This record gives sequence, C-alpha cells and structure tokens, in this order.
Amino acid sequence: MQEGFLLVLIALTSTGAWAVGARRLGLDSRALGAAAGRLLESLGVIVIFLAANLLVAGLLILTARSVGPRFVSLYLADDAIVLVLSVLQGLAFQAWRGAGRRPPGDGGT
Amino acid sequence: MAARSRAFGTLPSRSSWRSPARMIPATASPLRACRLLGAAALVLLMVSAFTPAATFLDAWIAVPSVVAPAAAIVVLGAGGGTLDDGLPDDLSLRRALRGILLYRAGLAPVLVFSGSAAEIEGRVEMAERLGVPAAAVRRAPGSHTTRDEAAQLRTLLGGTGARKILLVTGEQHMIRARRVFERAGFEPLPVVAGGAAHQNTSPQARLELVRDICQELLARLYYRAAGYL
Repeated sequence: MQEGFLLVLIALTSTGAWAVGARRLGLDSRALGAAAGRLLESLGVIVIFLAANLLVAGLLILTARSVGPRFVSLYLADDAIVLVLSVLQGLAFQAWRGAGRRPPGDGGT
Repeated sequence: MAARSRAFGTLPSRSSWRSPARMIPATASPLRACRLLGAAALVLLMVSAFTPAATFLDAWIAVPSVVAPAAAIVVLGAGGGTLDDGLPDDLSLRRALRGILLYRAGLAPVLVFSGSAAEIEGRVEMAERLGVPAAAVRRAPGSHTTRDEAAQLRTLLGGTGARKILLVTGEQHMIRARRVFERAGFEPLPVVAGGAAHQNTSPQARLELVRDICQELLARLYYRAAGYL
C-alpha cells in the first residue's frame, strides 16, 4: 500500500517536472536519455565516495584502536549523515567535472 | 548503438576507438564504470525498498531461537546507554526484556547483563522493578566488542561451571555472537530479541533491515579476517 502510494507520488511529480520542463522551459525531451545517463554517472560517483568514506573511516578507527589508549568503536562511522555527505561530495565532484577541464599548459591548481 | 549513444550521452562506438582523430577521451572508461555502478546501485535500492527481498534474505540468514533450561541467561550489550527516563534505549531494552522474561519463566537461576556501565545499570534497575531478585543479577561491564564480552563472561561465569547459557542478542548479531561464545568455551542457546518486523513493509523499514544485514556481514568479515571466528 505504502510502496504503491510512494511510487505513484514520485511518478506524478516527475510527470509534472517533465511538463514544466518541456512546455514552459523549452527543454528537449529527446535529451532525457542523456540526462538519465548523467544521473547514473552521478549515482556511481556517490557510491564511490560512500565506499571511500566507509573504508577510510574503518582504517582510521582500526589504526586508532591499535595505537591509541582508548577503545574506538567501528560504529562511530555508522551514521546516516555519512550517506548525506557522500551525496553532496558526489554532486560537488560532478559539478566540478562539468565546469570543464584546465587548458593544456595551465599549471594552476 | 545510435540509440544507446543517445541514451547514455556521447560514448563513441568501439570501432572508432582505433581512429586517432576520434580518440576516446581519457575519462570515458571511468565514466562508463560509474554509470554501471550507478545503475547497479539504483536497481539494488529499488529492489531493497520496494520488494520483500530484504525480508527473505533476513529470514534465510536468521538463527532460530532455542529456549531451554540453562545455567545462566546472558544478555549482550546493544552499544547504547540509557535515555532521559533512566531506561535503556530501544534495542537494549528489547534484549533486556527478553532476558527478564526468560528468567521469570524459570529457565536459569542467573541473569547476566553485559555492555556499558550506564546500559547495565538501566537494565538492572528495570529487572529489579520487574521482580528479578538482586542476588540473581550479575553485571559484566566494560566490554566494547562481542569478543570482549565473551572473554569477560568466561571469567565471570567460569568459576560457576556454567557452560550452557541462553544467549540473548539481536537477530543479525546472533550468528557471530554464537560462534564467538562457542570459541570461548560456552554452549550457547540462541534467543533472538528485537528481530526484524517482517510485517512492516514500509520502504524505510526495509532499507534499515538491509543496512543492518550489510553491517553485520561486514562485521562477520572483519571477525573472520582477524581470526576471531
């Protein structure tokens, strides 16, 4: 019941967004496929950031356990905010990538 | 191929890779991998949230409870403390309550609470209010991991000769906990507390279940790699 309601809800707002995009903003409906590809790409980047965050957290905690005087729990990294921040990291990285590459010969950082 | 190119952006065809003039950008291959990873994550998310797959997986890996007379009831810590009202938090409370009910059913003469000091005191207070005599309660504070708990309880109960124990912990945690306690010389009878609410079919509940299962699988992997299992 709840799953069905939520799926219908998302379908309704997506259809609304498509209508606004195509009719009011003049967006090309044929570009939706490419947009879906970029969405999957961003999701993949987010997954990589999430995995990296969890891996580095695990390594840091295990290192702290072995060298520090106090016990550090692995559950320290068990927080939904890690997922939220990984999403932001992934989106920021994609936005940076979309902003373009440095011209060849430009040594700027 | 043309349709695929439209759908996924501007990836060149495989035959064009050989042409220096249309050389594939250095980032195309990682991006393709990112798309595949993203697609896999999306499929996994939808299957986890909108199908009963997580519930089936949970039922498949779950350990059934074995309730029988034993020398002691051991309630493992839940990594929590107490709430403002002095009671243990939800997960800890469920485990403690299960242990108290087992004691009240006369299944063992001793009820042992493990975990942090604050968690144990909250549980002991609750047990005494629910009619468990203070003399029957044992405290095993100061352990941080399941392995620590098994070692500490070996020390605490070793002198009494108690081997057969009713081991109370969460559903996913039980497989690892049982093996660790077996390695510590106990004969644990698993009693699951706070199992998954299988009738709860909300996507959020299913995703939480998937997170718990993944977390426990990672913990089991770590214990195996470290030689604790």
